[in-house]
Amino acid sequence: MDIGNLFTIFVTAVLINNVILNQFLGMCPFMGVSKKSSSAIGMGGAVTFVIVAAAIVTYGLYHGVLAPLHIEYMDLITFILVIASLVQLTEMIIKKTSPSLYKALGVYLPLITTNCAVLMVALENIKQGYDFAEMLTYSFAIPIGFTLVLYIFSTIRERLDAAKTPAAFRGNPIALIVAAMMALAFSGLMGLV
Amino acid sequence: MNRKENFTAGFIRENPVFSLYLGICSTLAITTTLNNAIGMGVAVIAVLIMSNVIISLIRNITPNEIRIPVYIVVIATLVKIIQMLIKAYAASLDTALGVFIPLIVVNCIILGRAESFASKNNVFDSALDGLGMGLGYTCSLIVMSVIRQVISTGVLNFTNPFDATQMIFEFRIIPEDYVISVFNQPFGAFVTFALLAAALAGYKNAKTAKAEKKKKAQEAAQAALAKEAK
Amino acid sequence: MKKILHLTIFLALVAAISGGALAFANNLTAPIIAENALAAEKENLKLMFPDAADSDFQQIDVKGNSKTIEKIFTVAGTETIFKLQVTGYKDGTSFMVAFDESGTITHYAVISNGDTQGIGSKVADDSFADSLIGKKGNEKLDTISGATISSTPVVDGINEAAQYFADNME
Repeated sequence: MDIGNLFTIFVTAVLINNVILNQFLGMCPFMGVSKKSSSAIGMGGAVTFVIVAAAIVTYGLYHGVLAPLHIEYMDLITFILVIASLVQLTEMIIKKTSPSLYKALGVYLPLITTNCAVLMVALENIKQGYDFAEMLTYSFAIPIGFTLVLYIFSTIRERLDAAKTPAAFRGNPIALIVAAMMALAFSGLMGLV
Repeated sequence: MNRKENFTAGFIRENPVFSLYLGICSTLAITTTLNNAIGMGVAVIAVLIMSNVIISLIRNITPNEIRIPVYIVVIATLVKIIQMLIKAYAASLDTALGVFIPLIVVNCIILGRAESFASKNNVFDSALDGLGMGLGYTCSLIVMSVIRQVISTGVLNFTNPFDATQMIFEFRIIPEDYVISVFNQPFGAFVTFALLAAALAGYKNAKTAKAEKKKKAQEAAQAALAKEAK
Repeated sequence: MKKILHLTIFLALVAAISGGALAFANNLTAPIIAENALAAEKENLKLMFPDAADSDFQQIDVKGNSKTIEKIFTVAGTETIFKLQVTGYKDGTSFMVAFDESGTITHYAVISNGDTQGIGSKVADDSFADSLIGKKGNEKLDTISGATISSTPVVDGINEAAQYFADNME
């Protein structure tokens, strides 16, 4: 197990190829849940659980069932069904353990199913040919990058709501301009490693 | 809503991208060139129409409890078939769009229309709705990628997706020294999207304000008439 | 109980029909996709050896389970070309390196590089290629500073190919 390689994968996925600011995935919860920093953390936690669990299950399914049977073309259907079931499971767990978080996340919890980032991680693990350790690193790194950016964004947005904005920009457009600034800032990290 | 209203809703009034903020992941990522926009747009229109038709056909025999998984399986199958066709016949498009072709499965527009329209209407209306929403999405993609491509490279071109060596047209609009290449990058994507969304919001605000003004004027006129009649 | 059975059967039926449709589409398109890949391969080989004819290239099977070595070709019986796929940003780098009989690098060409323009794509630059050509494949080769995410896997890949060459082909 090459720690250097794993570290590179981790840093690249969190900072340099950031899932929201660089790959543009996971935008729906980014726009919808980022208004309060407490719900941002909660959403980040839920997404981390779903991504890691989905990555492990889909990786096992692909290499254990689909590839040996030469039905790799069923990957899209099986992956998305796995993700949908995991999201149902996560919903039930959150409802039981933290009803306030359940209420705060609202409709965005079942929407994790259509979160591009989850499906992307499942597909990338296969496409890049990662072994198990690399797959785990990548699958943890992506949602950590997601939560990081979501949290920073929500703290900015809490202040943005109190500011005077032109009527056409109120709400999502001005939030996107802030995202543009963040993307510019993060792109400066490109030569990091 | 009558047919024509529903069809044109996807363009301005209920523009899925800039008004409802659906499907923004792919919009931000691929709108760097006109080729990408048209390629992605056509793929999404194809999937939208076919999924709306199939889901409308089986809407009466699908048990309500498992309708979402069934819709997902239908959409995933269609997307995979489209991906295979693109890989076989338009390989340059496959390289350009990359992971965003399979990500059409989780494009909120498709599942949203299936759930809110196709499951409740007949086949012809569903197909038309799919076409309308798809065209609205494609037009939004085209507007955004034309802006981004012209500002970041100065050139507007279109190559044949089935034969990457054939250039169908190419115009240079801004001289090379004056291009702002940052528009190819995430910053440019967010800024262009924000400005277009704000423009649409501003236009809709203006329209609502005008309609309200008209309504108030009518009410005032009626009140004045009623007063005179007394 | 009966309801759950009914639901499961319906879902299974839908999945089966989908599977069938996909298998049909796969049969139609897989040969064409393979053909495209083969044509692209020949194009890439000509990148490095523009004077060679199609028939000068022979493909050799890769022994063992290497993640990075995708294909091996020989050209006109003298040089051996390794096609490698390594990690990096996004899709990583796909490149070819050619050794002569003594294991010295003679050619290097990048086929595709998923990196953002500017830094990572330096692995495709002529200056990097020039720094490689003439060195023995199993030496310690220089990476590009500021672009080590892309260049380290490339250099490691070349070392691995040289090792394979030494083990299996000399």
